[in-house]
Amino acid sequence: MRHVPRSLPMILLAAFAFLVAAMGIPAGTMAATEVTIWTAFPDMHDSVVKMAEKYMKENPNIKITATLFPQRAQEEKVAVALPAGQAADLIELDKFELYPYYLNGFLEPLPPDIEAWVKKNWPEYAVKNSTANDGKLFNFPWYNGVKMMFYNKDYFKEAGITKLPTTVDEMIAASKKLTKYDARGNVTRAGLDYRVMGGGAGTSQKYWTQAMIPYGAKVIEPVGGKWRAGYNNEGGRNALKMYIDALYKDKVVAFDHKHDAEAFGLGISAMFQREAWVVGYLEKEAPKLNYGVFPMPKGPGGWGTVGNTMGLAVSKSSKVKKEAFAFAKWMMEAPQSVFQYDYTGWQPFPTAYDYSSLYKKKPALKEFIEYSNKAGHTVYDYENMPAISEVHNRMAERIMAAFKRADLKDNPQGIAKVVSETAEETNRVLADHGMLGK
Amino acid sequence: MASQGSSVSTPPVRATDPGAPQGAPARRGGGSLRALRKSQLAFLLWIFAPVIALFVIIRVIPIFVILLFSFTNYSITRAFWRWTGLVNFERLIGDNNFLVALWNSTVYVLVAVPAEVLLGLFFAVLLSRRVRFESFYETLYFLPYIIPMVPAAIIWKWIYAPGSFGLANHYLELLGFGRVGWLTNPKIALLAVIGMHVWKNLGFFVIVFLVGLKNVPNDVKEAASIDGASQWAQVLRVELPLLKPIILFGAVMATIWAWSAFTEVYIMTQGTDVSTGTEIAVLVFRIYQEGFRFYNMGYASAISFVLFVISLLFVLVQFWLFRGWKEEGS
Amino acid sequence: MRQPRYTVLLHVVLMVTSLAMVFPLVWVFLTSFKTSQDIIRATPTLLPETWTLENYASLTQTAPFARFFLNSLIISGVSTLFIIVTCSSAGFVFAKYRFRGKNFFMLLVISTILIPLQTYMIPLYLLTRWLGWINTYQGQIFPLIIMSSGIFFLRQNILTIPDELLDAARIDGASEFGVYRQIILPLTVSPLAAISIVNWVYTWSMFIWPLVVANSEDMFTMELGLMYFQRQFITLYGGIMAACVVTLLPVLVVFLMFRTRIIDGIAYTGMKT
Repeated sequence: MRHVPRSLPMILLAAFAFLVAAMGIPAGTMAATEVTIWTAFPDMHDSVVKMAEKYMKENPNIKITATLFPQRAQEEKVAVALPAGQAADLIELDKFELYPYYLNGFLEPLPPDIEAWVKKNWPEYAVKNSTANDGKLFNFPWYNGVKMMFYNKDYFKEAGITKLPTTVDEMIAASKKLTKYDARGNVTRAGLDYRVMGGGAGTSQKYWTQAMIPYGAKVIEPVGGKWRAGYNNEGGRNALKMYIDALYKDKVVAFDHKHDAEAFGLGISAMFQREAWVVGYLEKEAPKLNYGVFPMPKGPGGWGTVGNTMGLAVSKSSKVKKEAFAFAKWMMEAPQSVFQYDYTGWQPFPTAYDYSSLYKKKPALKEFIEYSNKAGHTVYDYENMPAISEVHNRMAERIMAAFKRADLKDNPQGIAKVVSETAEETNRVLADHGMLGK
Repeated sequence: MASQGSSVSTPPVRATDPGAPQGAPARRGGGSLRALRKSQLAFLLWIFAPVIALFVIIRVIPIFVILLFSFTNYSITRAFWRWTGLVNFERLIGDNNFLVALWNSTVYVLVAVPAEVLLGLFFAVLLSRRVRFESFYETLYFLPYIIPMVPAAIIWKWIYAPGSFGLANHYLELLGFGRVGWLTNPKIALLAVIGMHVWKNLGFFVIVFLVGLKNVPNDVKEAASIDGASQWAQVLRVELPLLKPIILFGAVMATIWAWSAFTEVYIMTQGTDVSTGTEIAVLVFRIYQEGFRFYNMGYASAISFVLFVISLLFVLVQFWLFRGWKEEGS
Repeated sequence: MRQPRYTVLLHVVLMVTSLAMVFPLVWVFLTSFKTSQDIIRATPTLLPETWTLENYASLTQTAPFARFFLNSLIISGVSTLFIIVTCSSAGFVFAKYRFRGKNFFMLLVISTILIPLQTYMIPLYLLTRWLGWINTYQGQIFPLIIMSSGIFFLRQNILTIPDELLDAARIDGASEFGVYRQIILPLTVSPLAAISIVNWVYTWSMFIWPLVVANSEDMFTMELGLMYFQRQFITLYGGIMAACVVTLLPVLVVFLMFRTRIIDGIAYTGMKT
């Protein structure tokens, strides 16, 4: 019979000792005043860390600690920590995700002097989109996800397209000319890489930009102080038809090829819709690609794009609110904004800053900045309504399921049914939150 | 089994042990029985009770709190909540997303558990034939189990990727077959994810069953082979039945893991080359979505409640099926 | 009597299936040595065009992976040491003691396996906050010092230990603690080794709990560190695979260490009839 290793009690003792010792390992040293910031995207995180280094040199009594919780992790983290008063001083999240927290008193609105500064330097639509119902700015609009169409100049020349599309019909016609197939009929080059799957609300965001806006459909529209689904109409049906035709009639895009920036960089797509960060990505991964950008085309129902706000908010439980606001404001001043635009490609809001030093290397960035100021053109953003995230996520699931249905080709009743059922669900979500208007 | 009177009974005496008298076994002296009880009580008090207390604090109470939340409209972003009774459950019944997730989870369990148990048994039986390089094979089978889930799911996303840049499709096309929309085809997306789940966990079952098979006493094995039974008959009729308590353990663990599958499903819906949500959504995915994306914690808790009850039922059924053999030999 | 043909067939089946199982991991390993251009090309190749160590080098540049590694080691190590004690002692009581309410507690323990941690994370988080253990090691470890399935498994095992052994020790004057130390523990080395591995794997690759408890980078585990390779809309596959290989090694070592204990150390324990 084996004896218990004499060492077993020693092992346990060691474990206890280890644990006690570990408890003593300091989790970072305390400097004079510490401002913590949680960032949600690795590229921005790198940029913030670099900026923080500079800030700390200029302000030696402040310590900035930036921690990265990418994408979904940030949502979960904030969901658990913020209501419990354990969140960082500064939190980066989509504006529409910050809004519910503000409504429940977990975020601190911008103080009057900073608010005035933002109002002076930010475009009007940006200020409007971050203004809560009580008239206060509930977050710093940090950077802008304005979408434009990227296109491959070589492929356009090859297909004989000399004028850039300005209307939706022109764009669809161009996409047909640009698509290439293999012997089995598989799409080898997408004429227009519609976003047909993946990532929930991202798909509905691209769908909103690509199809709903030009055909005049809104995700939700205001009705007497409340909201209602705004796409159960001809515009909404045309929007879905646009994608179904692209997939099954004109066959300019398919499910089984690579998508997004990766595909565009590899030359697997001729056009696609995305934000300014792609410029930085292409510079690194596909430096020889001959590409350009053009504005989202006009449609029979409207002309615009989606420029969703990425926000930076201060938590109410923060003990260093003044310092947090000061750091945030500093990060959005001209020199830092130019650095950020260069380093990450994410577009700062103030259009009056001088970004010209970047334009030679990356001419596309200029287009993004000038884009928002066009007359007749609207930059849309998520509405400030607490359930907007749920509305978009649910809509995304339904339209993604619809995209898989080849039977919707040349099937107006089928399309109408999908649209009305989706709208019904949107209205139900609104009703659940007491937000449905009649 | 609980005795009346004192809370700690005398040590059970085997009815099959003819040597010992009924009642208290032979002891050194008269006070030893009390000493024994005192010692057992001490053990219970100082060791067992703290462990159970930890259980209650770390698991039972939080679970109970969550189950309570299913009767409220608790939302993460809202500071206050109120009791809403069965409203969440009523809504569940009509919620298509929930029903599809329930169906998906059921399919998940019905496919993954037999696959893991049967394949695990199959390979364990092969390995128990005393082959050379046994430890080499075992380690290979076990490797997928110990790799972290995130990189594993990423690799499988790549394997399943559409078009010719997905590894699976790439090889299929080389062999002359057509492409398969592993994750993009709604009909097979769930099975593709389950395939990955089984791949990942199989090693665990191979090892567990192998340990059990090795434990079959040699005299039993020899008796069977002397009888002239073929290898397979010997396995089926002699060794496997002895393995039933282990198979029960394996089946229960496989069931629980299948019901609580989440990470692989979650990762397979991220990114732009993958499946959409609904066709592979399982219950825990919906719980996560409702609770952390839509902030409807009360509703998410109601789904957790359903998950809890259903998996409890499955486990109880398995215990009942294995009833006759669970305590065999103990 | 086994025919030679049969053995060859056996080996072929084992070889093919085990290599098939491991094939995706071969990709993980080889990808960690590829450049990013190599990785995202339109047609994948098995071997790298150019072998590179840049992914491994980038590990410490991207994030303090050495610290993450240490943290994971502490958390998994302490957790595993605790469950060895808690599972064997509780399993002992459930298997060999009789008292009122024992079955109730058994059911209580088993039923807690059924719900994954994500679902009851929030009350647990609030408890952690109340204890002041947010962003600490103890906060990440304490929910992991008990293991319901481990108790279940140990119980099944201890059930097969003959009572005569226990009684003999008691007659010789051993207290219950002595019985536990001298009889139970040596005889349960195999199942304890098994649940040690399971627990090690589980705690090592846990994501959601360390995520909510750790507020600052110096408390991150390896698994959290993998997040850094999910760039905004693309994945740095090379980096993730390199991190994965590094993460895999300690778990593999623990497995190889315990393997013999599990499989060979079963002469006196296990599920005998």
